[in-house]
Order: sequence, then structure tokens, then C-alpha cells
Amino acid sequence: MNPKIKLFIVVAVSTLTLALGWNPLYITPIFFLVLLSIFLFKVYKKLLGWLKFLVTVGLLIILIQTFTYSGFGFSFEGLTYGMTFSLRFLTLILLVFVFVHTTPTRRLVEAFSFLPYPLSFMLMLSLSLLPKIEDLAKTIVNAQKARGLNFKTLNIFKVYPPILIPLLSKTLEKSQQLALALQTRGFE
Amino acid sequence: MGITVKNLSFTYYGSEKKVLDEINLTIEDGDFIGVVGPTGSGKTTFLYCLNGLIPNSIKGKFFGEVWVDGVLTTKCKVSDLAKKVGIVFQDPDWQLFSLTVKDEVAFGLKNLKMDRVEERVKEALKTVGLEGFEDIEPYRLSQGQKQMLCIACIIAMQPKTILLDEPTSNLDYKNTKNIYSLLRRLNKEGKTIVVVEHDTDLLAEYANKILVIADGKIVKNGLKEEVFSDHELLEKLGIKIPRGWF
Repeated sequence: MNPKIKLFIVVAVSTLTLALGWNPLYITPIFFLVLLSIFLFKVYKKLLGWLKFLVTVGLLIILIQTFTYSGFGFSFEGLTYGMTFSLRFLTLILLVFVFVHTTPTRRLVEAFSFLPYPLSFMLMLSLSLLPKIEDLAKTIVNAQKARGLNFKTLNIFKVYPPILIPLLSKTLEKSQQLALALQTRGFE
Repeated sequence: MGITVKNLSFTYYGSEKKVLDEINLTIEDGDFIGVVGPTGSGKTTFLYCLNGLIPNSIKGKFFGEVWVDGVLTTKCKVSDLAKKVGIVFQDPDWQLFSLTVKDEVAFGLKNLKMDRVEERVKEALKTVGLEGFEDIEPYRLSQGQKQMLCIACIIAMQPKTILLDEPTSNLDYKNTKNIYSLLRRLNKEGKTIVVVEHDTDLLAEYANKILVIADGKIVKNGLKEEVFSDHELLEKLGIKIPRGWF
């Protein structure tokens, strides 16, 4: 499918999801349609890694809204609001997920080719950096595992700094090199 | 006209230590120079001065003059100098970003508003042996091919001088030899090559002049026969004496 048409569908469905009031019954069919598209396009395997995170966030939204919507304590309005909010959030995330995972990078950039050159160039640059940052992260995670870092611990202050600090510093260092490379090839 | 460096000193912003200290040097057209020295001696900084990245993009205390083909680097933008001096960095992964190989090579040409873009792209890819890869995404190439692509991106802009910062540090022996054979070919076609390299065996085989930098100073500069015969100096600096020069 033409990536521009795909992008149009994503924008249209997103707008519809945001415009449909606060009744979860209106958003539920759209949510299931998006869910169905995940199976139709066979990208469900890629979603598995994110499933736990998405379900947790979705449930947290419902829980927080249910008990804090009108002061502390249970409220039916809060539950309705939380469910709508959660469904909206999941619909939008899954929609973008399907779009990104069914469109090769090259076509993804084509979809945004209507943007002014500096913007589409920045988008292309960012997309091209993602796999490199992912590789870097994997290397750092493996290095820290080899040095005995326990990823099963729940103490995020113990797990994240040894990964995020080198990842950030290395990404900044490499980004600076990329900036220099761009300049030496005439980019201003 | 080549490159002339006069009394060049440089200190990075926020640092007190001089990375380059009173460098004087002339690089003649057609030279193939190998730059050696201990890690942190200022080799990469020296390369950045030759193509104007220092002081135009990387800030610090800059003293002295660098003349490239009669143009003072401080009076010229990096993008303008790109037509005269090209640079290939150490890690090809962070130099490539386009969606296809041909777009990658064309990027510089379009920025510099050069003519015959398609023809130049084709020629450059043929020179480095990447014809037939035009529509491939660069990240799919092997590490050796990626470095070749980086060189193609530079030679397409047809600069007289090509600087390379440890271009083979991530490559196996076969790809290393391929890169150096290409550099020799480019040198024979008239390009000036300045390459920072730790492998002195390669330099002994391919370069004609050697520049030894230590603590920001040029401690030896001359024909490879002359430099590689100074075993005392090489050993003192921890530089490997190339095979066949014992």
C-alpha cells in the first residue's frame, strides 16, 4: 500500500479516536479493529515483547482514574473515564505500531516526503540512528551482564544507570561524529 | 599547492593541555603520508585541522595557520573545504544514514551543488567496487563494504586530498588490504592521502612518507625508510617496528 495512504489512514483513525467523546463503547470497536489489523498484518510476534508493558500501563491508567477521578475513593465516572483513556492510549500506540512495522524505513520516509527538506532529513536521520542505538544498547547490556549485573532485581536505580549512562555518553559522542561527517560532506 | 601548516597549536575548549603544539609541516600534492603515534598524541586532532573542522566546528584555542591549496582554513567554511579535502572517519556505521547507497554518495554532491550527480555516483561506486549495490540500504552492507562506501562518498566530491582516521581498525585482513590497495590506486591517480594508522606494517608497504606525532609535537617526519630505521625512537614511543625493518 502507498505509504502516504497508510499515513492518511493512521491520521484519520487517530483523529476519530480522539474525537469520539468519553464513552468507552464508542472507542472499543476501533480498538478491536486495530487489534485485528495486528493479526492481519502478522506483526503480533513483534508485539509480544511490548505486551506486558502496554497492559500494565493500560491497567494503571484505569486504576488511577477509578480511584482518583473525584477525590480519593471508587467512582463509576472514574472507571468509565479510565477505560476510555486507556483504550485511546492503546489504540493510538497499536496504530502507530502497525504502521511502523508494516512499512519499510525507506517507504516510511517517503510517507513524510511532503514535509520541508530539513524536517524530512531529520526524520530520516533519526530513523537511521535507531538500529545503531539499539545495537549499542545490546552491547552495553551484554557487557554489564558479563560483569555480573543482575537484571532480575527490581531496584531500577541499580539496573538502569550502568546501562543508560554509557549509552547516553556513547550516543552523544557518536552523534557528534555524525555531525562532523555531515559538515565534511557539505551539509550546513 | 598542497597543504602548509605553520606554527599550529590547539587546545580543546575547557582543557588546559595543548593537544597540538607548534606544528610545522608541508604536505605536497601526491604524497601518501602515514601518521603514527601513541594513543592520545593528537593525530585525529591534526587531521581535523587539515580540513577546517578545527577551528570552524570544534571550538578551542587555535593558533597558527593551515593553508589548503592557497586557502586559509580559518577564512573558509568546512563545506567549502570539502571540495578540496575529504575525510573518512574511523567508524563507518556513524557516517552512513541514507536510505540507499546511491543516495548516500549523492548526499555530498547535492549539498555542494555539483553537476553530473548520477555520473559521479556511478563512477565513485565503480572505483570502490560497489557497482550493483546502488539501491541497497547501507546498513545491509558488510563492515568492509561500509568503509568502502564512506570512501566512495568522499571521492565522488573529487577532493585533491583524502584524510583517513584509522579506516581499517574494525576490519579483517582481507578488507584492510582492499582498502589500502584502493588508497594506493587513488594515490597513483594523483590524490594526496593522509592516513592515521597504528599498523606500521601497512604503512611500510603503502605509504611513502611517515609522520610521527607524540604529545602534540612532530617528533619525526620524512621518507618511510628514514623514519622506520630510527628504531630507538619507535621503541621509545611504543610504535611497532614494521616487519623487514629490524
